[in-house]
Amino acid sequence: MDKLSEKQVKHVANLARLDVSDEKMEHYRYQLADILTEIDKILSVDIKTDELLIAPTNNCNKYSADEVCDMLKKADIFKNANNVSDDYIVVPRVIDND
Amino acid sequence: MTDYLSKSVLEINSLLKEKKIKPIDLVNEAFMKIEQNSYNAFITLNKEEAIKEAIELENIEIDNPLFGLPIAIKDNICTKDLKTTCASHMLENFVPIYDATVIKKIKECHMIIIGKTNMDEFAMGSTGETSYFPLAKNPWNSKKVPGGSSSGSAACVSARLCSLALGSDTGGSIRQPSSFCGLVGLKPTYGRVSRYGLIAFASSLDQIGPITNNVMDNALLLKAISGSDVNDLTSSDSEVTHFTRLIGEDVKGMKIAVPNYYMSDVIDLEVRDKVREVMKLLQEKGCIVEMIDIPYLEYAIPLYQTIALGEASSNLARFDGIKFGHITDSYDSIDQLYKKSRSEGFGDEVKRRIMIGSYVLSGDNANIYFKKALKVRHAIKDAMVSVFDKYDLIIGPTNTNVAYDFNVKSDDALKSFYDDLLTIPVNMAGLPGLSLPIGFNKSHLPIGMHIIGNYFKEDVIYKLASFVEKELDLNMDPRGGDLC
Repeated sequence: MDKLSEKQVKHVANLARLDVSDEKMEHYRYQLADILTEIDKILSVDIKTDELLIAPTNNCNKYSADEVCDMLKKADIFKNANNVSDDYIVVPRVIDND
Repeated sequence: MTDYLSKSVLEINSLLKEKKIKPIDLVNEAFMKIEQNSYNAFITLNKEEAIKEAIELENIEIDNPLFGLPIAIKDNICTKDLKTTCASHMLENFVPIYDATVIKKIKECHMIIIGKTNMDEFAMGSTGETSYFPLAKNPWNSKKVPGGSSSGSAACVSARLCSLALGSDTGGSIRQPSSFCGLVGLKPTYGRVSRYGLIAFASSLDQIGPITNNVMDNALLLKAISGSDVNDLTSSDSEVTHFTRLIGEDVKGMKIAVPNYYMSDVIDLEVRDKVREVMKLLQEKGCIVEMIDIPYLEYAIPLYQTIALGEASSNLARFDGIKFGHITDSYDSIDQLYKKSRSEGFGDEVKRRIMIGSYVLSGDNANIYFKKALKVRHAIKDAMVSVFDKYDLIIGPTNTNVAYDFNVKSDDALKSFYDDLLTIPVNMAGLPGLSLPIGFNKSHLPIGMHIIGNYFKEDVIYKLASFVEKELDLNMDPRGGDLC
């Protein structure tokens, strides 16, 4: 793969919730193609196993005790939020006016 | 100026116990050195708090070897009330409201955090050059990169601004800069150290580990940060042994494997020659050293690109500009807020990686690429672990080369991955691996040797590392001993 099309770059950028400027478009067309060409090598590996390794641990799941305990305080959490009003974090409206 | 911070942990501990020095002397020395030349190793300094803590420690009994020692922390490990930026514009003003588990443990040992260290943005890079902040420099030659992603942690320990630091390693980010800066750096077994409070890059690969000037210090710091944690279900219940217990023991009879792949002509000749010298030394001292083949190692890079970037795209989806992190100035919709905030907040390397990660996890690609990668990962893990049926350890070079100039191939999207060619397989399998300085090339730049052990056998790694360290007896101080 030489380079991706602009449409393909815009597609992967949208998946990652990113904008791609016109200035960077050419860079990404080549660079993403280089990485995806490398990744394609995975497909040619001759492998016998069907077993997957998701994480190198043998730990079993554990459940927390069902007890009331101190959690993070709302006031502390709000310290890093960008737009707070009383007890809420403000976001732009997500529904149409009509 | 004093130079206590170039001494070993045990030497400093003796001076503290004999009351020849106080913790405040160590803290003052660290900040004086940092003012003279910081090598851009730090993003945030913790001066006021560190001085306060050092004075408070004067009234507390010394109860462990790390008591009162200054330590530097990679800036992707959360420190309560101390800015944690991940070297990103995205988190430039982020102040955590809790401590990572390793930080709690550091504080329980009464160590003193002197600052948060520079790094590649979100730990994505192998040179330190993707940092949003002025780039950390290699104390051996400031025109050379210190390696990455734990660039500042390596630079500050190498320059003796601090004798201990924590880094994190997803594909080589502790071992690679340790090799470039002439240090001892360990990526512990996956699960040995809690990841709670480590800002995630690739959760199934990330581990926090120690970066130090010598093997003994490394083992002491690993002990302090190890152990299971209810806040990280991938942390292990395995016994936390005294990692120093085998240090100083004879290595005669140890069986050591060297993968042919690790000594191929892709690796710089001077680096290979230096590793061969150590192989010869070990044979002379009664070790059995044999070349072996390990299948699938050649797929480490595409494997990493699929798994690490897939996980990264998911982990970094949380940065939306709303709950924390950079938010754009103007937007018309929530979708625009996400996209503009993320596009302004992340640097190029991060954007490239999360785009690829999103792609390999999207739709049918999850089956085509990601599932196949998990199968290859299983196979590479089996292949590496089976080596330990016959051998105690695997050795080879840590890196393909020594530290190189800034801006080399900065436009090459594959370069940072290829720098980690020899370190990635260890993360894939979850094994422990250490980089040990074994000498210099003709330009007097450090060369690192990789020592890989079986699961939870960090003590065996330290056994061999301490033996080689003692035999070679190198001066790994980049200041050439001028200040010693």
